[in-house]
Order: sequence, then structure tokens, then C-alpha cells
Amino acid sequence: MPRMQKNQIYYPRTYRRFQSDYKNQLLFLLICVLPSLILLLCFYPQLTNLLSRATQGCLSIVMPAEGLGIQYGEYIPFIGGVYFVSLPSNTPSFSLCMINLLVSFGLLWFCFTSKRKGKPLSIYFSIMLLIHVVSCIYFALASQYFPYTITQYSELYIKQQVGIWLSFVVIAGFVTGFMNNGTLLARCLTFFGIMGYSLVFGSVRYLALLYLLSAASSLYMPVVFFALGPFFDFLYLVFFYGLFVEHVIRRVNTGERRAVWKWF
Amino acid sequence: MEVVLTILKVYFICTVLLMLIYAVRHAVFSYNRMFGRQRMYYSDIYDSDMPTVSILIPMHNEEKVLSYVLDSLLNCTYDRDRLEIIPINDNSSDRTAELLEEYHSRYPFIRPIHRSEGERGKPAGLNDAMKVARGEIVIVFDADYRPGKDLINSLALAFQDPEVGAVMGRVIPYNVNTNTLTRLLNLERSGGYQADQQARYNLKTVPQYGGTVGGFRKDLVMESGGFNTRVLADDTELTFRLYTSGWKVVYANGAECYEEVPETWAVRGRQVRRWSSGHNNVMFRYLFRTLLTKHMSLREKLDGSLLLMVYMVPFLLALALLDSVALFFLGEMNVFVGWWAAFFVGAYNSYGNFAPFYEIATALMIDGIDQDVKLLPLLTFNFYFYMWNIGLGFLDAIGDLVTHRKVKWAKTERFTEEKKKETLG
Repeated sequence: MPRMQKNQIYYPRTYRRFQSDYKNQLLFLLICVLPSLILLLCFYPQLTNLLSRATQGCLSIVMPAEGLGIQYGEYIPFIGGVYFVSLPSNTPSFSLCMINLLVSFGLLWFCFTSKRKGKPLSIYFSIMLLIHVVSCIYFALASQYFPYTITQYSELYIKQQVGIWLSFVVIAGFVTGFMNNGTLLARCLTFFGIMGYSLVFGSVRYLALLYLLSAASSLYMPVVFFALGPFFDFLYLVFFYGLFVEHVIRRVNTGERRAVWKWF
Repeated sequence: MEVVLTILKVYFICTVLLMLIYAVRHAVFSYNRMFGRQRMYYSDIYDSDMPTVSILIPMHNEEKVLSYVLDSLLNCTYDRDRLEIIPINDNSSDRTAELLEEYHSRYPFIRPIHRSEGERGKPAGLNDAMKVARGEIVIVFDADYRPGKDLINSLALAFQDPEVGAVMGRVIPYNVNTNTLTRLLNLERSGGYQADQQARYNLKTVPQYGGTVGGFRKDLVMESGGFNTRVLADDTELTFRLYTSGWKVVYANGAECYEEVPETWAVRGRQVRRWSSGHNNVMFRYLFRTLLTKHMSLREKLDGSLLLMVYMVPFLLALALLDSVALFFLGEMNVFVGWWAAFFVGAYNSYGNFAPFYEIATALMIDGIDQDVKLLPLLTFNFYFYMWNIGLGFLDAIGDLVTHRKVKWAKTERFTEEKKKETLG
């Protein structure tokens, strides 16, 4: 009877684990994460300049070009500032505030009734609607005290977006590089997929939000800040990560690759 | 006004730091489970002199499910001379008592007790049952659980170690494919046991006794006055009672048992609210004791404290959300977007949203389950669901603490019968 090879034993899930592939992890760190981080840190001022110019160009199609401009604001000390689009503010009328208030209460009632009550999406929308209710009341009673113009919002958005990109390099690098046993290619694809999507999503969202705020009014600023902020970035980050994890699971559970499992 | 703004900003920054601490903790657990040397359970011990075991099963109107748990236990391989099963019929108004007596007539070692007066609830029932139990070791199951053949043996083995006060097995849902909620709960359970509990066992921190699919030395609990009937989380309370008096809790990853998870959000919401209330109640009692005890190592104290606070954090996050809304309307939005915004975003999403993802993903990779990985993003919305329900549970615990009111016990609704009806219909 031929002697059984140890790598032919399919290990039980109870105590199996991966063997650290330090070489791949280091390689991934050196060719993906660190260069991306350095590039982003060195070139984010240019990146925001490019984004602002593109956004300005798009917005000029639907609104008077003379009101649009590009400004510069300080950001990370010793590294550089950011560019952002400046545009005129649009304060909501009292009647718009009241209509929004009534609609918000209606939607809140919708979220709190029937089978929708207590479900995750209902709770999420309820919180966002409550923020919008506060915004409606604020603008209805004291719009002159609202502390931000759309240009200030634009600056803050860009700063937050650069913050998201920087942290995503670190987080995506960490979870794809170190918390799994995927191939180097799959790691790189996932990492650049996340970062590429983040660049596109952040840019499109910037354009969409500026258009919404200038066309509709600053009334929606608080709700879009809280509802469409980093929360949504994490949805696609986790989605990409999920696809990657699925790939890893299939890879290490088929054929010869099952041998990657380390014996206890 | 300046003082208020300072307080709001300081609170915000403190919350970010707290979230970072939890993010690091989850990352350490995930990395350890994935690549670290796994600490073996006591599987290789062979002992012909196993302890006597009493299996206690609290029941309140469980006619729908009791046959599953009892039939599963009857199939267990543990020596019947050393085994007794004590279903605790706690004020049931359905056919639970009748069905239990039927089992008793067929299998004398199934010895139900019927409670129709006195305090209600699981701890009171367990206390009554322990008075009549003959076993040295008590193993507890909920009525909707389905233990495997070798489970009792696996759990009882741990008590060959004289340092072990309690043992906890792994819980796996059997109604996974019912709907999206049950699939998500399966992901959470996988992360909680395969990654979190096993890593804590590996790292010799504080694996948690979970109140079911687990056992403990009866004498230890009896000598310290039995279970506290004013505490909803008897499991967490026992974990910390044992640790603070020099005993250990161990986790048996291979001791798998199947349970029914809630199939509706309403039931799940009530369940986590109860857990939160009970867990926070235990936190109030044990946090300082944990920090000051001489019986725990620094590592155990650190992890134990974070474990105790874990059901308080969503409430703190809810306050942080209110805090950030207030800062926004007060014109202090720049608190979110200074040069350290990257730090904030990473921290907020690491604990608030992301930590469970890499821990769950770790567990799924180890378990080799690719079925529902794509549902991971949906867990993001659960963050708000848990923040709401766990936050309410925290407020319940504060109410209990302030008013000294009696805690109200409630059973998680079962779904098994509905399935049968649907099938028949």
C-alpha cells in the first residue's frame, strides 16, 4: 500500500490555518501599497486640480460659467493643499423648507410603519431623514446663520475625499495584502480595482453633489454630507473585498491548492 | 459656547480613538486566526473516567421544538450511566409538560422539572434544576438546539483540566437559507466563533461562555450562590465570575451545535436589545472587578474589559453621530476634514463598519464557505440596526441600574412550527 502524503490530507476546518507568505506580502507592499501611497501623497494637489477642472467643465454646461471658479486651500502641512470648485450658493426659500419638512415627516412615517419598521434600511433612512428635518427647521428659522456656503462645502468635500483615498490605500492594502492567502495578481487587481473605483466614484459624486446643491439648494447639504459620505465608499470597498475573498475561498478549496492549509 | 464646542470635539476624538482600539483588536484576532498557531482543544485526551453530566434545557412553551433537542441528545454517544437530561419546564401553557412527561416515561434519565411558581426566567430555572441535578458538570442547551452525537463528550473533556471552570462550543445556524437575515446571521456567527472565539482561545485572553452549547462545574456556581436572577446575561456574568475568581473558560471549536437563528428583523432586534441590556448590566458589575482582580493576566484584563464594553460601544457611536450632527450645524464641520481626516475615516469605518467584515471574511476563508460572501456589503447597513437596538438595550441597562427594577425575561420566538404549517399548507 503506498504511503499517504501529508499534503493529500484535507484538513478539517476546526484548526486549519494559512501559512504566511511573507514574500508575496512584502512584494505586494512594495509594488502596490507603498508606491500608491507615495504617489497619492505627492500628487494629490494635482489630482484635485484635475478633478476640479473636469468638474468645472461639466458644471459649465448646465450653469453660467462666470459663477464658477477654482480655488486653493491648505490641507496637509508640508505636503500640499487641495484645489476645489467655487460656485454661488443657493439658499432655500421658506416654502421649499416647509415642503421638504412635510415630505420628510411623511417619509419618516413610511419608515416607521408596517413591516418596514425596525429594519436596517428603515433605520438608516430614518436617521438621514431626521438630519434633513433638522436642516429644514434650521433653514426655515435661521437660514442667515447657516455656517457654510457651497464653496466651503466643495472645499470640505475635496479634503474629505482625499482623506478617504489615503485611508483606502492603507485599509485596502491591509485587507488584501495581509488578511488572506490570495495570489499576488488577485491582490493587485483587487487593490487597484478598489482604488480605481474610488477615484471614479469620488469624482462623479463630487460633480453630482455640487450640481444638486447649486441647482436645488444648500438645504440638502447636511443630509448629503452624512448620507453619501464615507459610508457609501465602504459599500464598494467591501463589495470588491467580498469578490476577492470568494476567489480565495474557491482557490484554496480545490485540487492541489488545498495543500496550502497548514497542519495545525 | 467655546466650552460646549470643546466638549463636543473631545468626545468625538475620544470615540475615534476607542474605535481604533477595537479595530486593532479585531485585526489581531483575524490575523491570529488566519496565520497563528492554533491552540488545540482537549480532543486527544482519552479518559474512561469521564465526569457525570447533567444537561439542563430551559423551556417555556417549547412544544414546537423540544423533540428535536431531546431526540438529538438521545443519539449522543456519552455514557448514559453518567448522563441525565433535565428539561426545565418554566410556566409553559402549551403541551410542553405533557410531551416532557412522555419522554420521561420512555427514558427515565430524562427527568423534567416543572416550574409553575417562583421567579421566572432562565437563571431561576437553572438554579432550581441545579438543586436536583446529580452531575458534576452542567451542560446547557436552548430548546431549539440540535447537538451532534459527540458533542457532550467533547464539551465534558475540557473539565479534565483542573483550571477550567467553563467550556463553550461552536454554534452554527441550521436555517441559513431561509432569507437574507438568516444568511447574514450565519456570516456573523461564523466570524464570532471561527475567528473571534478561537483567536481569543489561541491568545489566552477571554473566550466567552455563551449560556448554551457550553458547560460549567456545578459546584463552582452553586458555591457562589447560583445564577443571579437579576441579570439577563447569565452567560457573560458567569464568564467574568469565573475569571475574576481564578478559573478559565475554554473554547471548543470542534464541538459544533446547530441552532435556529431569528428569521425576522423584529425578533432579531428584540434579541440583541436583550443581550445588550444584560451584557451592559454585567459590565456595570464587573468592569472594575476585572481591572483590579489578581487572578487575571494583563492580557486577560485588557481583552476582558473590551469584551465587557462591547455592547456599550454602539451607544457611544450613536452619541458620536448626534455629536457630529451638532458640530456640523455649529459650523465645525472642519473637525471631519482636517489633515487627520484620513485617520478619522479609517477609524470610523474600521470599527463602525469594517471590523466585522475582515473578521467574518477570515472565518469564511477558514470555513471554506463561499456561498454568501457577496452579502458582506449588506452588513454595512446592520451597523445602524445594531446601533439602534443595542443602544436601546444600553438604556434599558441604565434603567435597571438606577431603578433596581426586576429584569423582564423574554424568549426568542421560534419559527420551526410555522415552517411545518407552511409545508402542510
